[in-house]
Amino acid sequence: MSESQNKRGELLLQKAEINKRKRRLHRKRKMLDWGVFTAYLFPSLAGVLLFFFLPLLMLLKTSFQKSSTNTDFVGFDNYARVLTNKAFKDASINTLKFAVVAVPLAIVLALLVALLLNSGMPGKSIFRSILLNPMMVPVASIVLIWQVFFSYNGVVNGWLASLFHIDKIDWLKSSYAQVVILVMFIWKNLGYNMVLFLAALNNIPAEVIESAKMDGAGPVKRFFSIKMHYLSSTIFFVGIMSLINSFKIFREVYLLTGDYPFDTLYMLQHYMNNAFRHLDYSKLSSGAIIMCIVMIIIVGFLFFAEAKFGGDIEE
Amino acid sequence: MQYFKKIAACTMAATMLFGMGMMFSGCGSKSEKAEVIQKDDLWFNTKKVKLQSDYDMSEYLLVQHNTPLSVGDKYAILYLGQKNMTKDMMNDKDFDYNTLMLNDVIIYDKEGNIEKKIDINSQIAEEGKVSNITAITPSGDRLCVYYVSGDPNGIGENTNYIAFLNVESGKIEEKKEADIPNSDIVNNVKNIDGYDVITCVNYSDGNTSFSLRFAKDGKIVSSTDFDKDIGKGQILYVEDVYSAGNGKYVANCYGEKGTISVEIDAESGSSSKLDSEAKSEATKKKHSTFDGTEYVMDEDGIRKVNGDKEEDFIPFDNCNVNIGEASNGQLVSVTEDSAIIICESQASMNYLEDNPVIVYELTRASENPNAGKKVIKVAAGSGELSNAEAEGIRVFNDTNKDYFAKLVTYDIEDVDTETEDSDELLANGEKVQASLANQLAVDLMSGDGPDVLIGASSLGELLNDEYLEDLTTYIGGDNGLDLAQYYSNVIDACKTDGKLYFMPNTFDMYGVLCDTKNFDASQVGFTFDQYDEFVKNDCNGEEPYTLKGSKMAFFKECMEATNDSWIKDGKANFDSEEFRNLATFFKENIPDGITSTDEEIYYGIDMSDKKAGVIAQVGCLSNLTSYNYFGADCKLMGLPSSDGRGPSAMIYSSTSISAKSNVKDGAWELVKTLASEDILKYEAAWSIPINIAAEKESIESYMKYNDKVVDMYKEMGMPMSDDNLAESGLLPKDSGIPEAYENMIGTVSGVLTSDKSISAIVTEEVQAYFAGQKDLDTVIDTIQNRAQTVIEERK
Repeated sequence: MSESQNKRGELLLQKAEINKRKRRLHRKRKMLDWGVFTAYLFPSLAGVLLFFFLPLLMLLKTSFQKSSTNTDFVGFDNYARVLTNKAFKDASINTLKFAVVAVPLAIVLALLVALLLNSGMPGKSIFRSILLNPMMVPVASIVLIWQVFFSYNGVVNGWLASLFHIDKIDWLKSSYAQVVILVMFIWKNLGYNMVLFLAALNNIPAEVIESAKMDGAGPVKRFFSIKMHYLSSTIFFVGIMSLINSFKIFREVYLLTGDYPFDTLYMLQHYMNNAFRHLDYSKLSSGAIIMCIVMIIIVGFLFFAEAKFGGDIEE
Repeated sequence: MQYFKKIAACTMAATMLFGMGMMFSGCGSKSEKAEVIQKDDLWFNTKKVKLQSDYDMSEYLLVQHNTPLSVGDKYAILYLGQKNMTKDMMNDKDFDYNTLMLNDVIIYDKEGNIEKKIDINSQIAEEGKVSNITAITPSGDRLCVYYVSGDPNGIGENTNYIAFLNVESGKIEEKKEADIPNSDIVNNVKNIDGYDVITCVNYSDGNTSFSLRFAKDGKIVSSTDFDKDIGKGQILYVEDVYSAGNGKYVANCYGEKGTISVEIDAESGSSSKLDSEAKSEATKKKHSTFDGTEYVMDEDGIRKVNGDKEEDFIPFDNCNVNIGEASNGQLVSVTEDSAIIICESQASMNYLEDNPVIVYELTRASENPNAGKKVIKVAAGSGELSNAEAEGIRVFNDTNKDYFAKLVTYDIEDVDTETEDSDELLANGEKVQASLANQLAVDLMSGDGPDVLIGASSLGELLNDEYLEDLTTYIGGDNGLDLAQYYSNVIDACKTDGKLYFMPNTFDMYGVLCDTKNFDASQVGFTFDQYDEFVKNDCNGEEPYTLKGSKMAFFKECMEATNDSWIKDGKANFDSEEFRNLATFFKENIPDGITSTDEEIYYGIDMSDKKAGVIAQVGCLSNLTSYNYFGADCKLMGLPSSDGRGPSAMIYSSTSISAKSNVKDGAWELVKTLASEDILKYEAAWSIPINIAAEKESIESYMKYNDKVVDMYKEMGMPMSDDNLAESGLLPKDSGIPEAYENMIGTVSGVLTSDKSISAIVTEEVQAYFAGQKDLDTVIDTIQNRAQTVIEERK
C-alpha cells in the first residue's frame, strides 16, 4: 500500500473516532437534558397522578362495586341503575340544556362587549372594571342579591306589579327558573371572558388588518375572515372555561334552592350531591364516570373544531 | 424529543394500567358467614343479685330507697317512707309523727339475703322534733348518716347532723352537728368517687340558692362559692353532680338563662363554667378510683384510664348485664379480674312493691361459655336502649343456645337547641334523625349494618325492601306470633304497602281527648268538617292544638297521621283531594298558634277551666288522670283527616331485621323476646306495650295502688270528688276509665311517621299558601314536582 493510501486510511479512522466521540457526547447531553427536564416535571406529574388520575381510578373501581363498604364486583349494574333513573335523565337534560344555551351566549356576549371596548370608545377602562366586578363578589352575596331580587316577594316582582301591573311570578319555582340562573351565569362570567377576548383582539397583527383594508375588505369580511381566525384559540379556551363554569353554577343554585329544587333547576350535581349525602358512593361514582365520558366527548369535539379552524394561523 | 415523548407516554400508560390492576384486584366477594364466638374470647361471668326489702306495702303509703352502698362484704340500703295515716292520727294533737316515718338501713349479704334491719329513727329522734334522714354514705366500716332535725310544725330553725352507724352492731356510735350552717339545709348527699357530695339549699332573704360541699368521713373538705366563681345569682338550682376524675366534679345546674354546667375542684371548692362540649364529654362517663387507678364506665363498658388513653377492662359485650341498668349504676369494687356494679332496677314502676336494687358481680372467666354461638349485631336508632330493650337483650343472651346479641353503637349528634322558634327546634331534631337514617341506610344496604335495628319506626327512609325484612312472613310462619296476644290493630297500622318492616314494642296513643257523649259510638276521628264544627260549637272557637303549639307543627302531625296517602305506587300523591282538603282546612280554620319556645305555656291542666277537647298523648293510665275532664266518658279521637280515621300510635320502641342479615332466624328470636310479656312489663308504666297481657297487668297494678291511696284519703277525711282526685293524680275507685282506656287502644288505626325529606319540602312550600301569597294549585304543583324528584332519585 502506498504512503498516501495509509495516510488516507488513518484520516478515515480518526474521523470515525471523532464522530463516535461526538455521538457519545450528544447522547450524554441529551440524557442530561432528559434528567433536568424530568426533575422539573416530576413534582407536577406526581401531583397529577396522585390527585387526579389515582382518584379517577378509585372512582372507576367504586362504580363497579356494590358499595363503598362492600367490594363485590357487580359489573355494569350501577351504570344501568343510573342510566335508567328518571332523576338522572332529567338532571342530565337540564344540565345539557343549560350548557347549550349559556356557553354560546356567554361567548357571543363577551365577544361583542370586547369588540365594543376595543373600538376606541371613551371610558374603556372604567367599563372594563365595572364588568369585572361580579367576579370579585362572594358567592353568598350573589345568592343574597338574587334572593332579594327574584324571590316571590322580591324587587323584580315588586317592579312588575307596580309598573306593569303583572301578577307575581315565582321565578325560582317555575319554568322561568333557568332564565334567572342564566342571567346570573352571564352576569358573573361576562367580565372574565371579555378580558380574554380583549387580550386576543390586541394580539391580532395590525398590518394584516391594514393590508386587508387596503385590499378593499369591509369590516364584516375583515372580522370573519381574519379576526375570527386569530380569535379561534381564545374562543376555544373561553368555551372550555364557560362550560366548566356552567357546571359550577350548581353552587349558587344549591344555596338558593336547596337539595331538591324545582325540576328545571335540578342538575347533575344535585343528583350527585344527594347521592353523596346519602352515602350512596357507587351511584355517585357511576354518575360521575358517565359525566366524565360526556365531557371528554364535548371537549374532544372542541379540540377538533379548534384544530380545523385555527390551524392555519401562523404561530 | 420524540423519543422522550414516547418514553413518557409509555410510563404514564404503564402506571395507569398498574394502578387499575391494583384497584380492581381489591374487588372481591364479601364473606357471607356470621361472626361466631370463640372459646378464648374475653368473658366475665355475671352474677345478678337482687336486693329487695320485705316491707308489707299494705301498711305503707310510700317506700323508697336511697342510693345503695357497698360496705365491706355487705350491701347497705337506706329505706325512707311513711306508714299509712289514719284520721285519728291526724286529729291527735300529741301524735308523734316520728312513729310514721320509715328510716331503716337494711344490710344485705352477698347473696341478697337480709342480714339485719336497723331502725335509725329511733336512735336519732329527739323529743318534740322530727328527723328527716337525707342519705347514708360509706365511712370505712361504718356508715355516715346525714339527717336534718327540726320542729314538726316547721317553726324555728332546722339543724344539720351527722351520725355514724356501726354496721355490725347496728348502733349509732356518734352524733354531732354537721359543719354546715343551719341556714343551709342538706337537700341531697351522694357518695361519688370517694367524696360525699352534699347539696345544700339556702332559703334566706326570700331567695333560694344552692351550694355544694365535699366531705370525707363526715368532715367537710371544701365548699363552693358559686356567687364568687360563677357570678351572683347565676346558679339557681343544682340538678345533678358527676365525677370527672382527678378530683374534679361536674355539676349540672339551672340558671336564669338556662342550663349551666360547672366544673368543681373537690379539694379547694373552686368552680368554673364549662362549655357544652366539655360538659357533654364529662357527663357521658362515670369516673371511679380504686387503689389509685381511675376507671370510667358508660354504655360500652368499664375502661381503665391510663394517662390520656382509656383501655378496655370489661366491655359490656363481654358479660351479660342489662346495659341500661349497669351503665347508670355505680362501680363499687374493682380488682384485676372482677368488678361489682350496683344499680337501680329499671323495671317498670311497680306501685305495690319497692323496686329492687340490682348488683352485678363480674368475674373473669377462663373460657367463653357462649363459644359457638353466632353473633347478632343490634343497633339502637336513637343512640341508646330503653329499659325493656336492654333487659330483653340480657334475657336473650342468657337463654338462647345458638345466638348472642351484641350492641353496636351509632354516634348521634346533639340537637341544636339554641333557638327560640319551636318549628326550627323541630326541624333541627329532624335533621339529626335524617343524618342517622343515612348512616344506617348505607350500612344496611352494604350488609355491614346491624342485623337487628331498634327504633327504625322513626326512620321512614329505611322502611322498604332494600333495607329491612318484611316481618309478616315471620309472624305468620311456624315460629310466628300468636296475634291474639297482641294489639294487632296497631301492628296492622304499622304496615307500609301491606308489609311490616318493624315490630312495634311500645307505643303511645295520640289524638284529641273528648267527651264520648258528644259523638256517635262509631265515630273514631274527625273529618275536616266535623273538626271545624267541633271547634266552633264545643270548643267555643278555641282550637285545642294551637293553644299550645304552632299551626305548622299541627299541620305536620296531621300529615304524619295520614302518611300512607302521600306516596302511592312509587309516585308522589300531593295533587289529590286529600292534600287539597288538608291544606285548605288549615288555611281557613286553624290559627297561627304558638311559635316561640320562649313563650310561657302552661302544660298542665287547669281543672277549673274545662275544655271540650284536649290534644293528648296517652301512654299509660296515669296520663288520663292528667288530661281527663271527662271521667269514664273520655274518648280519644283521631286528628282531623279526609277519612276521619282513629287516633294514631307514636311508636316508641320497635325492632326490625336487616334485609342483608346472615342470622335472620336468630334475629327473629330476638324480636320475639323483645315483644314478649315478661320484657314489655319493664316499660308498661310509661308506654303501652304491644303485648296485651303486659298492658293488662300494668293497669291492674296501677289500679290496686290507686285504690289503696283513695282508701287512705277517705280514711283521712280528704275531699273525694272526681275533680279533687284528678288533681292528685288519682282515679275514683271502680272507675270506668281503665275500660275506656283499653277501648281507646282498640281504635288506633294509624302511625305517626313521615319521610323527612318530603316533609321538609311540603312545610317549606305550604307556608306561602297559608300566608296567602300563593294559590293552592301553584303550591301543589311545586310540591308534587319536588317530591317526585326525591322519589325518583331514590330508585
